[in-house]
Amino acid sequence: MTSSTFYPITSMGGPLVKRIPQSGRWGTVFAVFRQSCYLESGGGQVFCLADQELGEGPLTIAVKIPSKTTFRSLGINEGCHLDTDGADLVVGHELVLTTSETVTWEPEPVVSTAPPDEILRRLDVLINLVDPLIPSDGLAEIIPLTAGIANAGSSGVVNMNAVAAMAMPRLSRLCGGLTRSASEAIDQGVTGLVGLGPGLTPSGDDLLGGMLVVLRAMQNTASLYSVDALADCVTRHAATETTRISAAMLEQSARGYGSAAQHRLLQCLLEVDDRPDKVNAALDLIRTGHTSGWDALAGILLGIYCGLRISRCQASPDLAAQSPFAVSRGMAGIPA
Amino acid sequence: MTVKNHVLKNMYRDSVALMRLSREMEGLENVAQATAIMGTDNNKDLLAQAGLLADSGKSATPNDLIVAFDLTPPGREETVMTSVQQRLMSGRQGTVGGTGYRPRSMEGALQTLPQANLAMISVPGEHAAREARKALDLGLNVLLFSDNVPLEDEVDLKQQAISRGLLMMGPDCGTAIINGVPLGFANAVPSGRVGLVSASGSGLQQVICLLAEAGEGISHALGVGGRDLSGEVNGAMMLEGLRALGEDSATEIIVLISKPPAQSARDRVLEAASRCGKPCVISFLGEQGEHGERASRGKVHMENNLEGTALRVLTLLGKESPGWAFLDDTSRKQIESIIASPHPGHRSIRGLYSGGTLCYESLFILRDLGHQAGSGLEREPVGGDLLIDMGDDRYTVGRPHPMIDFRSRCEALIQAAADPEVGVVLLDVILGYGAHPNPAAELSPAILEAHKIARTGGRRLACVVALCGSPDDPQDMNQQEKTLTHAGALVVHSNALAARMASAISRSGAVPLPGGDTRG
Repeated sequence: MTSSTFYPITSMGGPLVKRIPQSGRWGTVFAVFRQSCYLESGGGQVFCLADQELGEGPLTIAVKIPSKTTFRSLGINEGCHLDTDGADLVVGHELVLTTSETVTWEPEPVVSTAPPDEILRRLDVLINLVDPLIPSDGLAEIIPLTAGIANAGSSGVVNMNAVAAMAMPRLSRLCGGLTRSASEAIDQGVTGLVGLGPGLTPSGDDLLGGMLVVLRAMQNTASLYSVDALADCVTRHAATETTRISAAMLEQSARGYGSAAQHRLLQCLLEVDDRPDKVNAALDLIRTGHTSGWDALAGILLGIYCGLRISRCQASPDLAAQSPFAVSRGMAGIPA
Repeated sequence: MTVKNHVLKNMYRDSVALMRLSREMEGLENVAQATAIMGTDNNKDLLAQAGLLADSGKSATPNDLIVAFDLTPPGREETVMTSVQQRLMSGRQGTVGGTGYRPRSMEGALQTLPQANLAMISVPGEHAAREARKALDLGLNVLLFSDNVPLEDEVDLKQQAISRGLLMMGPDCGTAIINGVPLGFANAVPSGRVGLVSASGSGLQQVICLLAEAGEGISHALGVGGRDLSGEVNGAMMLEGLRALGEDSATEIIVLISKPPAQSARDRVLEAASRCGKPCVISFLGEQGEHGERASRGKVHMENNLEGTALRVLTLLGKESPGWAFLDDTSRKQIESIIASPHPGHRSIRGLYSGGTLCYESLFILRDLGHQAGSGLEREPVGGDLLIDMGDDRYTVGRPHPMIDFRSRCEALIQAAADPEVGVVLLDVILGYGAHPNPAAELSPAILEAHKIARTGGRRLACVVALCGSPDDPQDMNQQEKTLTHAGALVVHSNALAARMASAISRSGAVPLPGGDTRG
């Protein structure tokens, strides 16, 4: 006989709640990390069981476990099953995850958008703040250049790491495609970014995820075609060209679902009310993984610049070839 | 510049761990450049651009980890990979709050436990021989779990062990019990007077479990690896094990188990057995013709299946035939009911095995009974009787072994049920240490579903399960059997009996039901 250990599930992503089976097997663990593990259901759905300290997300089941407890020390290993009896979840044979305190997590919608000039000002403030912290790995190095890339005019790759240097022309092509609603250019850009770079979720994926979440939040009639084309293209390529964990993340991003940290930052940057905690929101995001948070931040910034540019170009088509962001620090030294 | 790539299949480590690994590799002696990166096409382009993509890395898929490094000057690749493996595995044994001292070398382990006299080694095959040599140099017996060790290394390691008076069990040795201590996949069997040396893991488990159920225990069970009786290795360690058991005062009867050996190894083993002075039961599984006949010469007794081997041991010990050798009334009636079914349909046999030797034993028993049975390794499952060893490398790429993970067998069972040609499914369920904690819970839903699918198609499906375990195994054998039976499986403990039952059902009663003396 063995005794069971009980821990409460504090939150569960909305898309997951709809997929809990009535009873029986839900999934099998295929990857275990210090504070989380990933599972795959019989139907191929990838989702995550994580310490609540890591935050909520659309595919996350957040569990309250004692501080400094590792998932392996809970007996969670590759091949363990997750079962449900219709109420609680059971991992392996001894770990019971209770649902009596569980809330469904859904991202809070962005409530009315701030004027474009105000958004650009906030972006400048944020980029100035994080600039000294930018790591040399992944795609974080493009952060100061995001405005220029969104303008499809930047291909400068001086002193960049190999991943960022390889990504630059692809990002320019992608942003140009989004502005012109040119699906072929979007596809070429996405093809060159999916699965690119270091990390379990490669940098290119994290960047595309951030872009998608922000473009869905900013979506309007002007951008709908481009955003749908981007979402379709990313999910199609991700299905075969990147890790299954990344593919699952990007599928949610394409629907506008990012991590809680991403959505908090979006609210700070886009909502009418100027929230004082935007720096903390950004710091929360960039603490994710080694470069994942930074790459997602780069995607969010690039997405916002692209979203604004799409709207302006729609209103005044001849702007498509000009830079609308003359005041942006990101444009410094970059020819339009 | 010598670029090396190692592709680690389905390997997931978080971004921080991968970054640290890349940096630590670059800090190693002789490593000019290094990275650990997921095997996507874009990342392979990235590696190619950096001059770090080797041919072996090109085969990686997005869910594989590519470890790429440039050795300048060439050499020391093993050192780098050992270091990588250690780093990737570190942190896998988590504890709540802090960790105790964990030795990182064999010398360190010996300082912690000076009385240790055996090293169990499980590292990637290319590094295994070196670790085994190190252990032998330290005066340790070796159980080498790793496979993919070159044959010439195996020959050399076994000669070195013999010259030092040590045992070299393996490579590819997954089962042993020494002085009552189970190593690898082993069962909770009582101590007793039967000593075994085996070149087959699941074969060894079947025999000791059948003996345990009949109340007989073992002194020691030594594994030697599947190639020990090849012409090259020539039975080196089986002979050494035989010698050790011959000198062991607790051992009264010796059992030797192997698939058919090379002629030279066979001659050496028979010669040594006839001189050892103790009764020896030798099971060369599936030997046919002159060699396949059950025979006794002096104290040496030949058998060609596992059940017959256990029965012979029990007879020599003066025991009565045990219950597992017979069909009980309930099973007999179930089989008769299936045979009398008004819609019998086709009754081909589909075997889905986790134990390679159990699969092999069933295959030759069915062939002996006149079936044109094929194995999954010989041809694709396109009809007729087909027995598949799902633990074979071909079926385990990117997946755990089917003794641990039942997904692939459950899927194959459902597929078999949907095949109108299939009337009987043969399965093995192996219990014991290292095996799945509750196999019946995994298989039962699939068995129920399989029956349902067959019924929907107007057929009846028989699921015959060979349950290989000991009453003292941690999975509760009795409960396992109840669960499987409740799901509609016909459960017996002898793999050979299960095969004969499958044959009887398949032939719609044209052959008599097995029972009485079931020796093949």
